[in-house]
Amino acid sequence: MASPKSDIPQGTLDLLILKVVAVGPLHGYAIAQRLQQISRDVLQVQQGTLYPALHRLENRGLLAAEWKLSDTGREAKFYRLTRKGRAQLEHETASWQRLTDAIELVLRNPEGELS
Amino acid sequence: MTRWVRRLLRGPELERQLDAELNDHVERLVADYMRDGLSEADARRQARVAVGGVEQVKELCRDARGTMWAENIGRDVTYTFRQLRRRPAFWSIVTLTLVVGIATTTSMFAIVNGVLLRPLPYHEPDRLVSVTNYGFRGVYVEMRQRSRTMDVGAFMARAPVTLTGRGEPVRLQVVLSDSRLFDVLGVNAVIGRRFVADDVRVGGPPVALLSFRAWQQRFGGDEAIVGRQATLDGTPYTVTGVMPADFRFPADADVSLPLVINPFPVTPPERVDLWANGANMIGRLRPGLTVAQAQDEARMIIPPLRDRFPWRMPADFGKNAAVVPLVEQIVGNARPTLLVLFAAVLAVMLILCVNVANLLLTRGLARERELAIRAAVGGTRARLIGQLMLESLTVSTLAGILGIAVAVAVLRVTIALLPSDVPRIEDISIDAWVLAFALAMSIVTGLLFGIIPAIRVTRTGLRSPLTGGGTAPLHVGERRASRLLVTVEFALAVMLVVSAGLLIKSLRNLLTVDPGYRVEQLVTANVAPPLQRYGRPAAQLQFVEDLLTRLRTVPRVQSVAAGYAAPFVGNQFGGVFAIEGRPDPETRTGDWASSDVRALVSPEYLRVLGIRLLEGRPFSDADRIATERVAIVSRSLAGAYWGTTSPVGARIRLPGGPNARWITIVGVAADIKWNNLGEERNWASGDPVTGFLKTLYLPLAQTPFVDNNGVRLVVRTTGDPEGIAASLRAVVHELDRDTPVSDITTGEAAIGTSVARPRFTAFLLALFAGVALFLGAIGVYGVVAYAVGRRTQEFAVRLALGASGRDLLGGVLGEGVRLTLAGVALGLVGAFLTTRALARLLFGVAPGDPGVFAIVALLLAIIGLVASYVPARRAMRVNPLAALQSE
Repeated sequence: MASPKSDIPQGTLDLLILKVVAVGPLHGYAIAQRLQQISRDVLQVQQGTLYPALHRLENRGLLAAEWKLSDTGREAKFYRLTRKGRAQLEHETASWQRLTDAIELVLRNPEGELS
Repeated sequence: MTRWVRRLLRGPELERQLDAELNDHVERLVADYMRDGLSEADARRQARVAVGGVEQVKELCRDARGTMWAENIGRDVTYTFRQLRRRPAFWSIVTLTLVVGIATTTSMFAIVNGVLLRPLPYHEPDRLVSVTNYGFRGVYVEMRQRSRTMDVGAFMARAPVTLTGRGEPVRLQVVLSDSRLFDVLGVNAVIGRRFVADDVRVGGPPVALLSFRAWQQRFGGDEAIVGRQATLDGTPYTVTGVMPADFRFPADADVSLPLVINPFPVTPPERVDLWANGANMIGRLRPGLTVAQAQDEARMIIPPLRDRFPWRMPADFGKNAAVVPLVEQIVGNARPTLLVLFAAVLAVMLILCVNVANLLLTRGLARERELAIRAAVGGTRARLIGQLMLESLTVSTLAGILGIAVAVAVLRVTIALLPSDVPRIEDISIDAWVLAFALAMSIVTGLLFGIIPAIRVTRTGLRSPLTGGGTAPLHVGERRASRLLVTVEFALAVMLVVSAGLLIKSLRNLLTVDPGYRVEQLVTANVAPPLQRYGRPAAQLQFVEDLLTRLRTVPRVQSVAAGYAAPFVGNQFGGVFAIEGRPDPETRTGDWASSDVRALVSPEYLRVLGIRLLEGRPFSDADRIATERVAIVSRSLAGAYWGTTSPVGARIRLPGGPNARWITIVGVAADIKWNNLGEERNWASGDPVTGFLKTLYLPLAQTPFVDNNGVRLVVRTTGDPEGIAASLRAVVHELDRDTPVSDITTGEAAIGTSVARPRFTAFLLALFAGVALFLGAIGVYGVVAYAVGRRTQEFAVRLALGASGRDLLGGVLGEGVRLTLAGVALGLVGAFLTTRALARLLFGVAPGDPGVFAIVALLLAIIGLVASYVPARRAMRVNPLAALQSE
């Protein structure tokens, strides 16, 4: 895994978690794996960041958790998106999109370059 | 919010889930690694590395839960109690120290609260004032009628009466009250009614109003008392009512009779009654008006009344009228004493806090490993400070609760020790304010002694690695804190000791004052022959002379005299007189001369008391009503009116019109102190300060007079005066069975009572200073001992390298000495700035007395030196081999 890794900017982790969980209920480990896979190993999520974030989102009512029997035969804590979480996700996705569009616009605009 | 509470309540379950969740994560990671081909052991190792500190992750998740702080408190309290149990001896000492401190402070506050702070038991007491300095009945009548700033009422203490017909005859304290007094104070009777206007009119029926206490004690709490008769001095009075339990007729009386004033006097005695007799005026300010406005008005109304007096009054009459808050008048003179003592006890408490803080600081360093471990497993600094503060707060709160219990006992003892002239003693109790104070006190104490150690210790604790041995290297920070605390502590001790020193010197000055008469082997007693039989002056005189004749034959009575005044037992009164050949005050052309004490005495009085006659002759048995009237004056009186010339042979006349007989001055007596060793002069006389009351002695036999208070016997005994009381009583009762003998006291005891308050103040302050000094010395000792302990290895090395024990001693000792000197210097400056508050309590010593300051500085420097030397000596005795091997 020689590709460079990025730390996740503060605040965006929440957005990413919501996005990943939107697909369906997942447990913590799976969320971490999924984030890593989707970002092609660029995003590394530490346990010490992931779990407090999950608990925070749960406390804010954006995620709901449920203990269910998992593939390992043990019970695992599965997180799923709540209605409130879905609204938040849409809202944040939209504003993230606006922001990245704006940044891209600035970065690609040749007139912005010094000539 | 409800979710938060649910989360809080589900704490243990959430913990378990958190555990399971993280465990699941690790297991999955391990499984993944094993799938990648690692052995299980390697996979686990790899997983641990990847995950990092599980405990830290947990801590972060708990934080995210939002219930963390509440759970922490619960956990920390449990932890605190475990800590306290682990070091029972240490915490017992701390708690005990605090209990003593809080108990003392609380009981002192209870006294301050009861005497100075608690509102008087009247309606809106803030608006009540006292009009002082010109309390004549005529002035009262005018003020009552003309004041627009306040409603004015009046009362007047008078001689006690004897209640008969209710078992044993008893003496009751009496106050005369105008009906307006009750309107002004806004107090109603609990049974029956208070006085109304009809009760106080001239020629009204004899009525009496009872205090609650007298009703309970003397009338058996009889509910049907109203309308019944009470026989006072042989006269039946109809009881109109009973006042509330906390009502004391301002003058603390058992019974009140009407204050009857005829505002339109016709006969000369009525005029004298109006303009010579007193009335204490109490006013209620009208809404929105101030004390100053009332005083301005009083100074407008009173001065012109000078012309209404039947005789000439001083030119500045009425100009010094003063209106003061009533509470100020009642407790004003006790305030400096109580505040000084309260300040002292607070200082002791502060020293206690400093000492405990120091103790914790030193001990906290021993805990730095524990704290470092807790920091390593995820405890934040705030969390650790919180934990340490919780420990001190738990201890101080515990000490506060115990302290309140102890304060109940301490207060009882202190009240018993309080001089009886402290006002409102009966109002002292542990009420809600005192409890609140004690609680606040314990919390503040906990914060005070806990905060510095908590901050200091966690700072070093977090920095210090876990690798150190038992004796970590010396940290500059906490040692500076410790030294600063001890310096402040020592300075406070210096201030207290200086204050105590000043008060002790003042007391010694007071006690060495020569009262001017022989105090030893002296007994005085009050004898009150019933007025029904001895109400006429001639009968009274006969009784006194018969009594003296009989007493002369009593064994161990060396000599005996009688008089309507005796030193240090109260109840003297002064009077005015005219001097022959000077402008006559009775015709309003001249001013009255005045005596502060007019002593009507039997012929042997001066000789029995041992008052020196400076000039002229003493009274003799030949000075009778028919012979030339004579008087003896005190030197201060002679000096005031005759200057350096001799008054012997001059003639004076008492008020009584042109028919009054001239009295020839036949002698000059040395001055004596009458009430107080520190007494100066009558406030009103305007004379130069002589330190004595101007006294006019007149022979009993020539001065027809009956004092309802009774006559004073003055007895010089052979040998010890103890036990003479029974003989005195027997002789008096032999002469008249119904004559009460009271207030039997020795000369020493009478003077002792007069210095009770300064003695009490000096005693308590000396006690506080002693404790402060002890704690200060312990503080210095502690710092030096700690430094020696911590530097043992350093000393061992230095000894091994050839330093002498003496070198080491010098170094350590120097530290203690520097601390001490800094403390003494700081304390002297502090004392210089604060002892001015003592000025009103000091007699013959200035608040900045250099002698006291010097002695205290020297004494405390020596004590500091000793306290440093004892532990410093251990530095010399370090065994290099043993110390280095222990490393």
